[in-house]
Amino acid sequence: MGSTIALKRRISSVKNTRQITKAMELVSASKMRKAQENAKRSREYQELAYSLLARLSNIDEVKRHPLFEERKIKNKLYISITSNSGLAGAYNANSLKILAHSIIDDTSKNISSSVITIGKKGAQFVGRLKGVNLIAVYPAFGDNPTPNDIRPILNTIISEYREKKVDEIVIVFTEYVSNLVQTAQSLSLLPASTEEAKSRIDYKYDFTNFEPSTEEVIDSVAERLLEVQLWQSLLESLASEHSMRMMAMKNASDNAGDIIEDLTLEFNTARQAGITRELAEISGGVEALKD
Amino acid sequence: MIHLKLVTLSGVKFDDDVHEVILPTLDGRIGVLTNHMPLISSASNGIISIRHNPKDSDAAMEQFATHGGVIEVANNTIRVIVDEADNSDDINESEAKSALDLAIKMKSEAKDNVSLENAQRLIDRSSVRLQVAQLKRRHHTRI
Repeated sequence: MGSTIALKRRISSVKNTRQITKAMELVSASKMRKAQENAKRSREYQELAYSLLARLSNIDEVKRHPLFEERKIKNKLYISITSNSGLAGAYNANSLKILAHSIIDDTSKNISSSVITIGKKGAQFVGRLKGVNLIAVYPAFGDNPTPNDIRPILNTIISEYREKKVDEIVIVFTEYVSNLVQTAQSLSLLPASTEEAKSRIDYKYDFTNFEPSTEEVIDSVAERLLEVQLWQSLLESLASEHSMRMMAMKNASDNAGDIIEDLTLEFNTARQAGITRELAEISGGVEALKD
Repeated sequence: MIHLKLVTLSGVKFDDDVHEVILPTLDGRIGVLTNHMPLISSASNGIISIRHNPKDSDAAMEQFATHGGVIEVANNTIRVIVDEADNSDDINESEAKSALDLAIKMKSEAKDNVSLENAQRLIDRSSVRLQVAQLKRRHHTRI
């Protein structure tokens, strides 16, 4: 009868696991909704930043501004957004794959790469890569990031670019397309470009006053734009992380259900076999006594 | 009337027609009334004051503590994007005061440039918040 006891134990252990994955699924679902709402709230800010940029795009000074100036790329800086914890399906793997491919690409073009990571998983991965300069490591900002969290990163990348230590800044994040589709992708932050903004021009003014100076205003607008791009990428990644974790946990719960079904069948067979054997033994014993 | 829209990363904080808005710019505080000329300006840390009706006294103005950003005036619309905008009603004076004290303490204990910079930013932010809170109290006692 030993095997039925072992089977019983396995069934209850799988049941426990299923309870945990089920709970994690529900938690991720609610966190995902929260992250989506946060991302929605900053959309207005993004629209406004782009429309300001659109108004600036007609001015010649923009092209000469240090943050808009395109240089020959010798050093590239990547910002990688990953999670602190695993069990989120292919969330970290997908975005780190894009990062690794880009770095390999750069190396073949003699471009040296440096990386700022947000999230422990990215830091662990980049730490193992050879020839990559890991500038800064930030832990993931938790489920409720505030705009103040990204300010240090913003200041770092702006000063790195201004001091010409890097010639391009790329962010690798996971875009949240829908509940089922999340795609890891990279987006160039600096040099800033007015291309995207041009399509958004909603009105035109021939003269506008810039105070205190055009230079200063371009500075502020560029900074706002970077801020909102970084912020949106962070929130989209967060929503993707939770969504992918939810799916992973849902699959795990479903698998646990299948395993329980199989084990229960096996358990019942073993139990029935035991009963049949005992009956055969008893009736065998009775037959033996008759003679 | 002129339309004011106050936008932060965490959402739209104010969106309505008003009579006059006083905004903090790098060159000082400017008042914006109807038919103001098109302007784009950098905002500094400071207080945004909103006069809803022409006859409202200074005490009846709505105040927001803000921290850096961009101001755009065009077509009788003021659009302000700022890091943060806290309504004076949401700020507790004693909390703001202790936050400022804490920030000053952090600055004195800062060991490297990064923490020094962070502390300075905290000081700037909390001092504006404190100013707004004190402004509200002065106005309330006067009434």
